[in-house]
Amino acid sequence: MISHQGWDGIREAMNRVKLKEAIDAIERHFATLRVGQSAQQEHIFTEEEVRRYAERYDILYPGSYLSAQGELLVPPGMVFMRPAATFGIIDTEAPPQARLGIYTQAHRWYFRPVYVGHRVLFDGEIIDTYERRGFFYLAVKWAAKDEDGEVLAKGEEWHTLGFVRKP
Amino acid sequence: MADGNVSNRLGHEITGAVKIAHMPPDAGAVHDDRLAKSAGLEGGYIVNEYHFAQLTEMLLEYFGPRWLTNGEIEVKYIAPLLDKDTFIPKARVIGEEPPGSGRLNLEIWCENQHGQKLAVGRASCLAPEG
Repeated sequence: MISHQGWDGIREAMNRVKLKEAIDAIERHFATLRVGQSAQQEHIFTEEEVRRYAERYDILYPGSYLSAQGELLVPPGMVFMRPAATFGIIDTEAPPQARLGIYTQAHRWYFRPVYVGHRVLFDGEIIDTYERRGFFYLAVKWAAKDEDGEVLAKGEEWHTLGFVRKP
Repeated sequence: MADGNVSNRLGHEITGAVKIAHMPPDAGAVHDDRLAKSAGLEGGYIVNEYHFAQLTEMLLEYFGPRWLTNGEIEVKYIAPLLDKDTFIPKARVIGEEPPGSGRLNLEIWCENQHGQKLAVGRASCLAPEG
């Protein structure tokens, strides 16, 4: 029979293997990223999605998010391009510690209200990649436009690839 | 030179709605206590989108609809917000930028129940009407 200490040792060893796999996956993916690399996405914010966001982040909806004509608006916090989801590791075989990551900084500008149910087109581009204190970072700039090409919002996001630190 | 609507607001301190943060049920790996600890973090923490949602909510309350067409916000996340922590968004009007533009410049931050700053940054927008 294996003692508690034995199980702890096995768990720790398994964890070390998982973390090594996660760091390897992050490093492999990081090496493929290039400044200037771009991506486009389109999205229609549905009322259900917006209400879920409001519930999740504890904001009153629709509250102030109504146009003068009474149309539902999208809270500004929802309008951005997700760096890790767009340019990160989406391989579901990679350990969870390698997927998504941590937001470290954001800079956003808003020019026009975004309406629920309207199509929004996102253009994003990698503007920097770097390694700092064991984390691999991705910086992305983006712009969100309506179907007429009018800019609704733009921003810059700094995000880590995964949330495991290289030793 | 700043008009009355701007100069009257310089130095204003704003406190947004105080909330008790809660971990969403489908928060994802980095917010899972066990996975976060396995990666050497102190534990699962509330997604930083929460800070952003609350800060922009406070700014919309202050600036009104102008925030949706003129707002600018810059945030650096500096410390984790933990489940059941108190979350307090704050701002202070520090100037008009560029001078004479009617655009207010604010220092913004949020803190927990211990007074520890969780995120810091700045925001700007045309001064509220009236």
